[in-house]
Parts: sequence; C-alpha cells; structure tokens
Amino acid sequence: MYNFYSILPETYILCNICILLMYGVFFSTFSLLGYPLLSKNFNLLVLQILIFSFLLSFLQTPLNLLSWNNLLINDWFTYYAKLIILLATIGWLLLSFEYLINEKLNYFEFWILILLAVMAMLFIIQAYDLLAIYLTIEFQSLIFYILASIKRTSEFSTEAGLKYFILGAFSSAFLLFGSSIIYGLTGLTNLSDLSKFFSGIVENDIPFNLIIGFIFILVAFLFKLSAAPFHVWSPDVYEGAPLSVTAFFSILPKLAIFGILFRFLLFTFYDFISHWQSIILIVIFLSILIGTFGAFAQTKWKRFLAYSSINHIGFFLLALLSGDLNGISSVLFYGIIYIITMLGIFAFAVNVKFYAYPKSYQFRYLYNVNGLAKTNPFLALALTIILFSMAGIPPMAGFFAKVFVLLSAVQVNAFGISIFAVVMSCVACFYYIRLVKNIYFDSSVNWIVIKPINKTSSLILGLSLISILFLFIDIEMISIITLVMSIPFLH
Amino acid sequence: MKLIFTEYSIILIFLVISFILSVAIFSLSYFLIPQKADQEKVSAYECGFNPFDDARATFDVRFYLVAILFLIFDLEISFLFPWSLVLGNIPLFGFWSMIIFLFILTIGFIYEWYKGALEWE
Repeated sequence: MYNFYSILPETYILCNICILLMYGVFFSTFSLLGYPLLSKNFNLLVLQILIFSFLLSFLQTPLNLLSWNNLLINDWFTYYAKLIILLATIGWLLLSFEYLINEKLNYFEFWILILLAVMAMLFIIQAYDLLAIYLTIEFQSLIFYILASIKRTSEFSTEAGLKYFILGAFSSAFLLFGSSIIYGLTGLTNLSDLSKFFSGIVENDIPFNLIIGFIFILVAFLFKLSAAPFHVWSPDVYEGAPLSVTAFFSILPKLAIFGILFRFLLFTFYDFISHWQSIILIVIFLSILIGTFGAFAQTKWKRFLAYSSINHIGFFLLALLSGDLNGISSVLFYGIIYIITMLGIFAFAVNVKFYAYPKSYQFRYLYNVNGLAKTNPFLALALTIILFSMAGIPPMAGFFAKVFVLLSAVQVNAFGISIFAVVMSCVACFYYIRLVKNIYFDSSVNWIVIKPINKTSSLILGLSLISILFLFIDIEMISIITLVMSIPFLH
Repeated sequence: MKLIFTEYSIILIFLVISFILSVAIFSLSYFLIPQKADQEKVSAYECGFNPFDDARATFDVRFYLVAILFLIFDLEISFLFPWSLVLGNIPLFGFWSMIIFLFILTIGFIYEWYKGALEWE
C-alpha cells in the first residue's frame, strides 16, 4: 500500500484528468446545448484541481521511501520540489487566464494537457532508475511538443512544434542509447545500485565505455535544459509557441530536470566528478557566452527571454561544479528566484496589451515598451525592478541568488569561470539597462495606450515584485527550504 | 578489448556483396541505356488515354489518423497477450492493474469516438 501513498497527488490528478476528459468531450460535442465552449470552465476547474493537489501533497507526511520496485523515490527533495512545481503552476495559471480567451485558443484539451504535463513533472522529480527517467522525460516531452503547436491557425506555432519534436525525439534517443550502454556494461539500471557499483572506482582506471554512455545521457539532459551548445531549439520554440505556453516552458520544466540531473551527477556518477566537472565547465562557458551575446541582437521579447534563460542555465550549472551541499542549495535557491522572476516578467508580457485602433496588440518587439513610464509609471517601475533582478543588481533577489552561486563555485577554486561569469553579467547588465532606458527616456511616435491588466495576473505580478524587492530582509525564509531540499544528495 | 572481431567477418562480406549488387543493378541500367526523351514518352500513363486530372491530391489526414489509432490499440493488444497467459498465477493486484490500464485506454477511445475521429466520410 505504501506504493500508492508515494504517488498520491499524481493519482489524484490522473483521476481528475479522466473525469475532465469525459466531461469535456461529452459536453463540447453536445448539439442540444449548442456545442458550448468549455475553456473558461476548465480553467477554473484546473485551478481547483491544482490547489487540492497542492493541499494533498503538503499535508502528506514526508517519507523517505523507494516505491514501485525501486523505480521511484520519495525524500525531502521530492516533497518540497512537488510543492514548488504545483505553486508555480498555480501562478502560471492565474496569469494566463485572459490570454487564452483573447487569442481564441478555445480547446478544452489544452487544460487536460497542462494537467498531464504537471503530472509528468511530478513523476520526473521522483524518478530513480534509468528506465523511469526515460519514461517520465518522454511523457513530459510529448506533451510539450503538442503544447508548442497548439495554435493550429498559426504557421509559426506549427513550425515551433515540429522543430521541438524532431530535436527532442533525437535527444530522447540519445538518452536511451546512453542508458543502454551503461546497462550493457554494468547490468544495473537503478541509480542507487549504480552509485554503489561505482564507489571506490579509481580515477585513472575508469573504462572509456562508461564515460561514453554517461556523456550521451548528460547530453540529453543538457538538451532538455537548453544549455549551450544544445540550446539551438529554444529561441525558435519559445518564439513560435503562444505566449502562455512559452511561459509554461520557461517556468516549470527546469526544476524538474534539475532534480534528475542532481541525482544523476551528484549521487550516481559522483565518482566521475573529475570528468564531468570539465564537461560542465565548457557548457557553462558556452551558455553564459551565448546567452549574453545572443540577447544583444534580439529585437523581440520572446527570443530575448529565451537567450536570457540560457544565460540563467549557465549560472545554475556554475553552482553544480562544486558538487556539495552548498552548491546544490545555491542552485535550488537560484531556481526558486528564477521561477518567481519568470512569473513576474511573464505576468507583464502576457497580459499587457497596447491599444492601437481598432485592435489591441501584444508586446512583441522590444521597442514597444518605449515611453511606458509616461503611460503607466507603476507598471514601468515593476518592469524595471524585475529587469534589475534578472541583471543581478542588489538589493533585488537576483543579486543574492548570483552571489550564492558564485560563492559555491569559488569554493572549488573555479576562479576563472567565476570571473568570466561576473564579467559577462556586467555585459548582460547593459541590455537590461538599455530596456530600462527605453522605458523611461525614450518615446515612440504616438504615446501608447495600455489596456489595464486583469486582476489575477496583476496579483501574480505584485507577489513576484514584493518577493524580489524585499527578499533581502529575510533570505533565510527560502534558503532554509533549499537547505532541507539538498540534504538527500549528501553522501 | 580487441579491435577486429573476426567472427563477424561473414556479415561484412554480406554487406559488401549486397552493396555492390544493388549499385551495379542501379547504375548499369542508368548509364548503359540510350535515353532519348520524347514528349509522349515522359507523360503520365493512364491506360493509353490522355490523363484526366492531375494525379496528385492533397494528402487526406484521415489515413494518418487511422494509422496512429491502429498503433495505439495494437500496442494495447500486445500488452494484453502476456497478461492473459499468466493471469492464473498473479494475485488480484495483477488483475486490477490491467483493468486500470484498459480503463485509461477506453477513456481515450471514448474521447476519439465523440470527437469524430472514427467518421469515414
């Protein structure tokens, strides 16, 4: 029976998916009622389901157990990571209320896919076996392929979905290939069995085949995270997908894939650390370089945010170099701040529309924010604070996140890459501050008229703003959670 | 760890001979034939008549849908086979696991039925 206790929130979400699917398909094809559009109805139902599943996973006793024939694990990390993912999804849902109605994405299946994606991400965090990793990552990726191309009338969206599908399927093939090499060489697939198998292995004596298998799997994970040099899909996919879906892609999967990456690198392959440290170093170098210089040339919001998120992934991996408790705690702290910042900036980007007769337009280009300060000074201030946090300027939360990451990287004497990260941070500051200059000191030909944001997304924007601005008063609030989350990865 | 596996040599010979054979058949027929293209020779063949219409039509997505649905339900059947063989030996938990699996697939089936994917106009 403890098998079911470990996946109780996921089982709850699965039952709800079945019920909602039947409800949706019966009523939306019911000619007597006039084929009603159920999208808004589903929106609120999914919000209720997510809040209940948050309550369900919050009130569970956090156990440490292996379940389902050692395929899934529950420990402190999964307990808190599930809560963070459910909260982030609730936040995302609140800010994408109005957008889907305005864009006329009326499929009720969209919400079912969102619930399935959340269930997949809750499973990813708990995966503890090479097979479970593949199944759960493939589950989540398939749903994301559909979500990227959900807007059937837009060629952009279809192209984004197709690109994501081909590249994502290829990377899943890499994952399987690496897993099969490791299985063929060791005969084990469970991550804890593999870590016991590798304990006490001599550094110079590691057979090369194992490293090849390990590299294939690592490449697949880095692809899913959009780390350079495997980042090429993310600007195109982020740009083509509808904005709500881009927000979903930016905010949620990173934490889930990082959970697996921690277990993989720091628990199973900890004895290979001298090998993967150099690989991760190169990936960090390229990510920060490409993220910084790629965002210079962008003129559209979505691609800008994609390159900025590649930059952030570079910082995530920087804290992973040390491989100890401080490192993991810094990554998780940065992750939480990243989720809050992304919620804030997408609350701005998704809902602010400017009105040019006779239609209202989305903010697509970066120069669309020129002169925002004259139209709506408080919104300009909010955007400024969020941009400063992304740039890493004190006393916003982004600064503290970067400080912890750099401190834990310096502990392993990785001075070169830390200096490089700081220098690139200064360079990145330039284009964030250029945006602030555009907001405050530039003006477009006509003053822009902005439609007021709806209440729920202004709630998310406000919460994100307060967290970013006033985190420095009590950092311990979040850092103690990240410390508890990183305890299971100790040896 | 040796570099050359001599027990697979026969597979290499097979590959080389099949490659040579197919290249020979293809290239000989292309290079040794006199090709004098004529208006009538390269036109589309429709039993000696002039072609009525262009042979290319838009690909009907119903064929693709049928193929995907076949794949899903065929895999469901292939999961049913081993379960039905050992059903006598596994405890009640095994029975209910398969019932849950079939139930989820039935929900998918009802969904596609009501969406009209089974209509073949």
